[in-house]
Amino acid sequence: MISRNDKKHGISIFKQLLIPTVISMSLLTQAHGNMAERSKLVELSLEDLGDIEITSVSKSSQKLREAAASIYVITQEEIRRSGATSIPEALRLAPNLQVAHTASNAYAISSRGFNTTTTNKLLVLLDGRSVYTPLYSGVFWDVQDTLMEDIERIEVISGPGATLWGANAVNGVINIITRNAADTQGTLVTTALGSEEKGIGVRQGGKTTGGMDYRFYAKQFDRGASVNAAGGVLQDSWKGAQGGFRIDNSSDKQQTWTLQGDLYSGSSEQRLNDDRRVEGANLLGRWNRKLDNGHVQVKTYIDHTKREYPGSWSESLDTIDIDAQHQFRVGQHEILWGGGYRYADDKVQNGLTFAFLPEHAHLKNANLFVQDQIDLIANTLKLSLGTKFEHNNYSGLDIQPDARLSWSVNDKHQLWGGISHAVRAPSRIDRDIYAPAPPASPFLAGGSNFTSEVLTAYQLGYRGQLASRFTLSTTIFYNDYKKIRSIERDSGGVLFFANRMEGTGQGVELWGDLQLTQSWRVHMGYVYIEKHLTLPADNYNPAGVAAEGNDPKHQFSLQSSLNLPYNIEFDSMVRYISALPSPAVPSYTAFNFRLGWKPTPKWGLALVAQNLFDNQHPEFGTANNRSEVERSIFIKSTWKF
Amino acid sequence: MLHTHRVVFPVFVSCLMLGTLSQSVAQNTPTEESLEYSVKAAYLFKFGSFVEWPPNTFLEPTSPLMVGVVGEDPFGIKLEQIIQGHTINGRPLVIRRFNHGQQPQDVHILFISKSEQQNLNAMIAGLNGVLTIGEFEPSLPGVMINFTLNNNKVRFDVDLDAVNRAELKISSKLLSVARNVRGKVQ
Repeated sequence: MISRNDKKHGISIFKQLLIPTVISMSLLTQAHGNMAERSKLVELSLEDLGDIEITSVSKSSQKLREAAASIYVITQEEIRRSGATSIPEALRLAPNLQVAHTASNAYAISSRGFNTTTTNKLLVLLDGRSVYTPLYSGVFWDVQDTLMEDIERIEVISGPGATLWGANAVNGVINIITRNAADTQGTLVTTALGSEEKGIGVRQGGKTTGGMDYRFYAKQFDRGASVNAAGGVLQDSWKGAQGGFRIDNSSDKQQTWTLQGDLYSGSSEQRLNDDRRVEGANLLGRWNRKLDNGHVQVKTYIDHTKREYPGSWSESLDTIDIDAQHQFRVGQHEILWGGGYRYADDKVQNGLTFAFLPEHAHLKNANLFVQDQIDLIANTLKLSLGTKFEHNNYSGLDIQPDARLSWSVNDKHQLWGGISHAVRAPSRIDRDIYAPAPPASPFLAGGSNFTSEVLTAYQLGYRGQLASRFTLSTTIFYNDYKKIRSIERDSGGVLFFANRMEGTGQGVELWGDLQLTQSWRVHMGYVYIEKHLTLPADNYNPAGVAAEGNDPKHQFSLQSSLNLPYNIEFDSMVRYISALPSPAVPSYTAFNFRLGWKPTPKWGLALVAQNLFDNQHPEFGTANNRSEVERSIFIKSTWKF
Repeated sequence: MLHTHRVVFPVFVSCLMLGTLSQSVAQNTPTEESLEYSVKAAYLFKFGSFVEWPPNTFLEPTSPLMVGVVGEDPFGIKLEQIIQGHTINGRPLVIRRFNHGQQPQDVHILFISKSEQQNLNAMIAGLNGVLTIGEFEPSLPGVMINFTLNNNKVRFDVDLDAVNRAELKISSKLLSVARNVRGKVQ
């Protein structure tokens, strides 16, 4: 447990470090070894050359590399070479995430700790469409899917991103971006067949005479049930199908637009009742216009998702969202401002064990944000100031300011620091839950005064090229949490949610990339997290502070990608996750391997083995009947023509 | 636990700061310039290692690989900057430039500038065992590798029929990276 003194101390460390940094930053001017950088181009692979953005007009990805934030970008190539067949599995590639398999079809995923099966401090976007559920501010990972080959990249930002991305971006943002239809031309057929996994995916891309690019895709998968510690099969096998399209019109360089949509359904077994069913559809439009000075983007989407758990509850959620942003430059200031509005119509059919009341909720969220990026010294010292004003039904107005300073020492080294304030807005579970459901008198109820959870985050980071073939990125963070969800008891003896937990989280994130030879790349990642949360003595949390996540202190990963003659690729990944404290989950080390072979340019084969040296291991949950992850071996085949 | 932090955090950051401060401070140059032709130059070099020329193309294992540019040169100094001093399979690279309308000779890789579109067919007919590269929009027959810009990135299409006619062999690795491949593998 942490005392008030310790907390102050954490902040003073930050002051001690940041202030001298700022002073020394302003004393130095910066350098650009443009030439050196260019001569490095020949060391890149053909794939990497094709991924270089050649002008700074579309600055998004360049900005990511320079952003004053802890960002890890999972590329399509990394996904392919990992053999990952689902988005949650691909997220294991990001060193700055905690990913735990909790059941065949469920994951606990978080950043900077606070991991639970209903993690609520992480924002997840799929092509800009927010996929968190307003039921508990978390993500139902079983329905977040697309053709893995169509993912361009996944940006994983650990730490707050609230100013640009909005509420819930407290401990991190996951931004999944699919490829432009121009990059997915032709036909693709993939199949996977193995011990735990069967899947097929088809995509057809083309071009219209008017210069529009399009693709259609469909996929189907079947994943085996997980097992308990004794090896008994748990009834949680899972299957699903999804189809969709994307149309991109980039024929007019001044003005581009995208229209895309998906349709899905799935089901998973459960022990006593009929299968759980999920289904949904979404449609998203995005329009970009270049201006003489800057650009404008307008994005809108509708999303329908339905979840039926026979014997328990069901939910139908319809969301409509529109947002716009405008970026322009005035002198040294690059201003980005915008706003958005989201309306969600959430209907729950309650069961006996718990109820959301009212059953039918109308949730409204409006926001306005502005960010000013100031070039204090051109190409060297950048100050970014921003704030977001966000209004929701439950807690009203939240203001989330953010200040960051980034110093490019030269073209090889960058230091950055930031102070951010972010909130996790109340969700339906915090306010509207009753357990058991009426007419039984509740034992636990939502808190009518439950308000936003608050974080103030202090971060300091470095990223750079330490040697010609070695890049490193590291961040230290100190998070000060206030008003975290706690459980109290009212005079009638009913437990209810309040905001009386508080404390700190701190840690180090570190990852590096080493190109040993032209054909051998090694990547390593390490994360250290510790949390010190406290509850007032008169609290009634049955799990105590453990209710706010079960996190490993250490997490280490090492990936190797080796290109061999005869178009053979050999990839391996080992990851070590230290023990989880409460409920106790032993530490584990998992080994994944992939052997890929491309007999012809159009046909590729891969043999993938996940958890090869391990029959099964638990990653999350209480010991008695938790789901364990088994060894999985499958063959993947990919045709492109 | 916090006691270790008292030491670890400042030491950790100080090390990072020292490392970066000790870097030399060079001249300030603008970086807004487009990378397009730097990337294309790097491709020109990379392609060399994925192509097999007909037997007897080179006299000796260390004979140089000749890279030509014909017509208005879009690379300027970048071609030299990027590929000078590198070798492909032990062969040094030599860059040759040909004027507008001139028939290139003694080259293995040839970048055909847009300025040569008029007499393209005649020029290609006069080449023998040369990997031809262009940046035509749309692509033109006879140009084996054609650069295109796609979402602000440099990609390329391959015309395998033209490659086969010239009796060159292109590795499947290169084909798998191409955006579009026209024609059949032989």
